[in-house]
Amino acid sequence: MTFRLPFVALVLFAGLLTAVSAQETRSYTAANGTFDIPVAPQRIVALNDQIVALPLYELGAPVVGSAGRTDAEGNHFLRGGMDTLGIDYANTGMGYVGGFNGLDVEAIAALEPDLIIGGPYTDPAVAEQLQSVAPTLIINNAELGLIETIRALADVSGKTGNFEARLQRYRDNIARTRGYIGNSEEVSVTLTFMFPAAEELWVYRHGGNLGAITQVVRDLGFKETAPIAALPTNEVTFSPELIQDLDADFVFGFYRQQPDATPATVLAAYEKFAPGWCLALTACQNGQFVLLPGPTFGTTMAGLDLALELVEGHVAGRPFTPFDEGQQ
Amino acid sequence: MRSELASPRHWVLRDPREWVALKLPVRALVALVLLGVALLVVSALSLATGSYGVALGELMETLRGITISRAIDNVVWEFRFPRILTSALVGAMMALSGAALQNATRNGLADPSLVGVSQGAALAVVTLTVLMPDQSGALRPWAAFFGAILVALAVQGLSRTRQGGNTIRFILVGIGLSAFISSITSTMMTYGQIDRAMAALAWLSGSINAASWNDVWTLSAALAVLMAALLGISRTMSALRFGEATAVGLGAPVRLVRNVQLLIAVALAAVATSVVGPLGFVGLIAPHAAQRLAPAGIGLHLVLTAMIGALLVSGADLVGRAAFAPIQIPAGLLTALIGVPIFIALLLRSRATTTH
Repeated sequence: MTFRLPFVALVLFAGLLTAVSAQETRSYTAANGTFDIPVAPQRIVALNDQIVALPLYELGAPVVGSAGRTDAEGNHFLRGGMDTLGIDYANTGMGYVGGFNGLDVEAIAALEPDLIIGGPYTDPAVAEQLQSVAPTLIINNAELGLIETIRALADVSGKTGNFEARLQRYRDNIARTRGYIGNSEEVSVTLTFMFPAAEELWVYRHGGNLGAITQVVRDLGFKETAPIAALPTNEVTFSPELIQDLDADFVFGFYRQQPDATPATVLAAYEKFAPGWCLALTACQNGQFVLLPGPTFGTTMAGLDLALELVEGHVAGRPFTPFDEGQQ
Repeated sequence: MRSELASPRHWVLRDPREWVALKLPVRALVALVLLGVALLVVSALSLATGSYGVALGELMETLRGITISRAIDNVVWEFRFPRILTSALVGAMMALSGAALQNATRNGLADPSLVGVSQGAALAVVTLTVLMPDQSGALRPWAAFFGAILVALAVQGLSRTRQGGNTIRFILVGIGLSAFISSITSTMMTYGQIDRAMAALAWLSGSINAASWNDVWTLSAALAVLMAALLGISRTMSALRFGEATAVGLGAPVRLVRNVQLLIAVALAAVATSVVGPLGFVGLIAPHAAQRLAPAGIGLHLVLTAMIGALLVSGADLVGRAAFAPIQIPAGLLTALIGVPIFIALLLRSRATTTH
């Protein structure tokens, strides 16, 4: 009896402290303004799966809901979730709150979030409406780039320590890989993205925003060939008649772990888009056209690590035939 | 004001000084009441339906002003109510816009989305979203309004001949220009950054999910002014129904009224589009449905048309947000889904008429 009362008082005091700290807020300036956000949010809703929910989940943030995609059978999924982190709605307890451009504001409210995070693709009117549910931040990933986007997500979710540790490991790995490659600034790399239906071929400059792969290519210091460097913007749709302009030491493409975008489907799409394309590219003739898996163009630390390992394996881990740009 | 049943099918309202005398068809009045009831039912269903579970008792308490929780207050007063009112208001405005266009051009196929008005608003908004994403939220209504006005002026200017305005030419120029504008919009979407294009795409599909009280006030004010103006010229619009020559013979200021009608039609569509994006075919369906439901004089016809438009968009929004929740199907897609078969049916009917 003598010890019980102080013990109960201590437990109550600790509980009170926890409750107070859970409601503790701080000021944060996002792309859409300055808001008071919880210091340690407990219930976050992501308004985009690939760009917001995955990196948050990876950092250990409490994501209770996310926008997502719906397949032909009507099943909801997190784009890149299974490929990158082995997660989906079914095995995380995250709630589906609509498509990223068709959000169900009531489903978001029902999850009782204390922080909502979207991106530049989020309808400003919806973001404004959601402010009445919880502080709704717009993190402009297009402007920030991959590293700063994840840093911002780590910051607002209170997971900065985790992020900085992973970033340091990534930077150490970049330094190691640069050491393996040696003169990486003399190795040319072209980034292509073919849609499985072969309707369009996108080409990304190294300064572009194709998730982890563009970050890795920049960090390793690879060069662009003259035709790619001359492209007017960081991402362009490419003409099949100019397919030979894509040639470089390495040409990368991408597939996804989905039935409609397997390596075979994507290769067939290149052939459909520009018949005989492989003959026009010495990189392809020399086995230096490489299809990388989906997480390498995602926006997670896991994607960065994977992209770096694969690029290291292909560029430093085997001999390759250099592309002679002068003979083109 | 006294009323009498003039004949089994009409109700006459007349004030003692005979300043106002209305002969109203009973069938149209009954239809109006039924439409009002239907709109109330759809609104009540909308208020009670949603992804956030609000029990009927909780809803009633909230409507009486009793706070059960901040979240429920928020869902009912900030999400559902403005959304319901916005759907009804934009539906009425698009419908009235279609009715005014059809009357002015004397073409039953005229609709804001067929003559380029909606496309003009859409192009302006997409351009703004792609080129100035930071400003797009605040400037969107203005951009949509001026986009629509510019296209309407272009259609009007291009369809004029030396003999004056030509209604078939107006429609054809409108269809051609809207196809041209749509292709520019698609180009903007293709060459704009993907995230900006995606943001624009959501608006382009005509979604009401971000409706706010500000939108309700804007739409209410616009509808009150523009509908009053439309009803104000309804007598001359009646004369125009018999053709231009007859209307001139009856002493109607045909050219002035036609221009005013077009201006009102464009303004109605522009304001509605600026808030929720393009909502196709409402302006086509509603006037025809009103005519078939209960033939009436132009004034009552406009009111019936507005009610049908309100009911159509309210129903489409309810189905779109609740049928597959939390998947949200934009109301614009559903109105197009209903509208396209009706459009084809009207075309086939007009073809049958012209071959006789």
